[in-house]
Amino acid sequence: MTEETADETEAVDSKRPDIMRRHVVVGWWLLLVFLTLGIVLESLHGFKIGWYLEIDNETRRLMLTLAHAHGTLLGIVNIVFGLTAGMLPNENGRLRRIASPMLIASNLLLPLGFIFGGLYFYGGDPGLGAVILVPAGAMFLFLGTLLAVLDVTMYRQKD
Amino acid sequence: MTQVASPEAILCEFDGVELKAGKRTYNLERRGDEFWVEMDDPSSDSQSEYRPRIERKVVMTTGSHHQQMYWLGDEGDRKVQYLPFTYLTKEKRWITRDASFLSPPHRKRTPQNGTWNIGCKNCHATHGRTKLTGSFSEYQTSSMDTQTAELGIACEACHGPGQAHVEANRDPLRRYKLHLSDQPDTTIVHPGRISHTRSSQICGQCHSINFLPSTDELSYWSEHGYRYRPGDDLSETRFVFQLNQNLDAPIRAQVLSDPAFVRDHFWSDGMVRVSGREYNGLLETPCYQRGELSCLSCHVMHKTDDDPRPLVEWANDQLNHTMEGNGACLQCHQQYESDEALAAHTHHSATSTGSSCYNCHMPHTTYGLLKAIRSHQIDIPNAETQQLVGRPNACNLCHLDKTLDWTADHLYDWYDIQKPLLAKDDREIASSILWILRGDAGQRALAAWSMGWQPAQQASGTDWMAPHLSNLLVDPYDAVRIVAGRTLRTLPSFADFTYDDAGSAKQRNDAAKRVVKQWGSSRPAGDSFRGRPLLFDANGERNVKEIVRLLRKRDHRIVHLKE
Repeated sequence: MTEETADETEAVDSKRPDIMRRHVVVGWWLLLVFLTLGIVLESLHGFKIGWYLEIDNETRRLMLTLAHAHGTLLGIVNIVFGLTAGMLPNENGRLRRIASPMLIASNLLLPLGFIFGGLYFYGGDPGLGAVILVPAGAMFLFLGTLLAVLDVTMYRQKD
Repeated sequence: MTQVASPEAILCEFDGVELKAGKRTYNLERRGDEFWVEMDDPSSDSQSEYRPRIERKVVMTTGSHHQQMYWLGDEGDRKVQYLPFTYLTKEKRWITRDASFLSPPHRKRTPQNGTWNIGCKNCHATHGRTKLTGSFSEYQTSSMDTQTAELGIACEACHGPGQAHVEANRDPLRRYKLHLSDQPDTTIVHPGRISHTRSSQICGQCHSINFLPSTDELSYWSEHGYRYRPGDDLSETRFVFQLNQNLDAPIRAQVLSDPAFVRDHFWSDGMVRVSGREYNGLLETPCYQRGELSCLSCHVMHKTDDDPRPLVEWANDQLNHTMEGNGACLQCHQQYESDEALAAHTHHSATSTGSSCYNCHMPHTTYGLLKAIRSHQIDIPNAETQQLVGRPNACNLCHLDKTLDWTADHLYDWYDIQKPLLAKDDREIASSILWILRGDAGQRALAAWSMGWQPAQQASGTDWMAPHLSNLLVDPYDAVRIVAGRTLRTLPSFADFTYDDAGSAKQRNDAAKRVVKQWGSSRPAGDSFRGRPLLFDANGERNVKEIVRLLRKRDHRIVHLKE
């Protein structure tokens, strides 16, 4: 290892706990919030709340269910990403550093897009939240995941 | 509406039911999810009591709110024939199909093959095409390849063809552009966004007495269905018959060549008297002619989110829940909004049924489905009309115990409506009793129904009704007897009265006598009903001499109300 590489490695090493901690914390918070949303949705079922259950509100029901599902799954994705970041060595840390904000962006855009898409909708069409925010969030999630795949793959190839 | 016969659509207990019409027996059977009828072969020429027996599968049903009837298929043929029985959904019993219509007692129809294909599907399905190969006069023996876009009255019946709309709206950009603007979607018709006349014509395509403008159109109609599409001007492709309008129309002569046509559809002054023809009433209404009244002023085709009623209740009349009171009329006639103004206008308490706009201006003077239905020609009560035309006026349909003279006096005192010169009976005897004893079958049916109408019972009292209703238990018209029997069971102490409206003449006579006897033994003390108007003497006994006199004056003309 050269001196320059050692410096870079030290710089990445110092960021690795940040990325790991950030995504583990965000992930658990996402789990808490969107599992809670799930409890709320179940309660709407239990108390037969028309705003959620009436036949004309099917689009709303779908969007809020998708918000709950995506938010919960994104929580798990973030925890896994965080633990993965902690597990991988310091080479290719750049990919992790780019993937991290993309995942953070998707954490916000996807579930919020579904929520807004269900709060106000147009018959069989979701509200603009779903139309604008969800595709953007999906794109960030895809890119973040792609970078994570490259990150992990290159680590395996190195071995 | 029409539905495919399925366990979900069929409302009656079907399996193991045996039905008799005269000497013919029909055995109903359910086989899994299929429904079958074993019966005499209707195509057999045999005059013998023992015709060959066949089986026919029930393929479709029509009706669900009040009655249901059943269509029998024929293998290898797309013509369907009706089972000659109707199931009354609320009473959960069967009657013959002839009895379900106000039709002459001597007229017993043999089920015809192809009736649905030629007639019923025009309104009970969407975009029906008969596709008859052969002449209409021989439709029973001609083959048909009848098609519909959908069974029942589906979206396109009111919104027009939907293909262009579906294809255009596959584009999400187009959809969201429309969502975010107030612009109408030009690829589909929205009945609420077109003029009140075109909007009402959408309903009028079925809810009117109408004809193709010429017989030349028959072939096109048979193959392609009606030319009319929602949003079009209905008058361009259909002739809506009005008794006193369009007198020069060439088709009129053909229509009026049937001497019974007017009698079977209208009161003699041109007001429609059969159900399901509400557009005819609307056309004659000033609120429509000079205002913007349309069917959608009061009715909604899709139950609204803020309607607290159960779906079944909304579906009964499809009335907007805000229009159950006077809201419909107060949209324009706001001067009657306050209780004081309303009571001053109606001369009834503002909270009473006498202050319901509907009860005075849309009384129950049309008949159909074994009941009286509100006229949709908005009108004012008029004693002279009742005398000249025979149509019951709104006042006497509620105040059943009052004479026409009583009504005329009040109309003059309250509204300056000139009092006509009335015949002695109209001056001295309650109108409802005159309808029962000397009226035609249509009037008798309306009278019988009104005696079971709760507001009328409240206004008139009920302790005098039973013996008069007993006269209708022996009426020659099946439908009149059915309505009278139903009304009788709404009266105190008659709730469990057993009466078979399809029984023999002797059984019906016996039932009528039992009513009089039961009434006699349970009638209340007091003189609330004694006196000439109700044909009871000072002792509370029926004035049989007068009753017989009026029965002898009964209008026996044939009535066949073509619902």
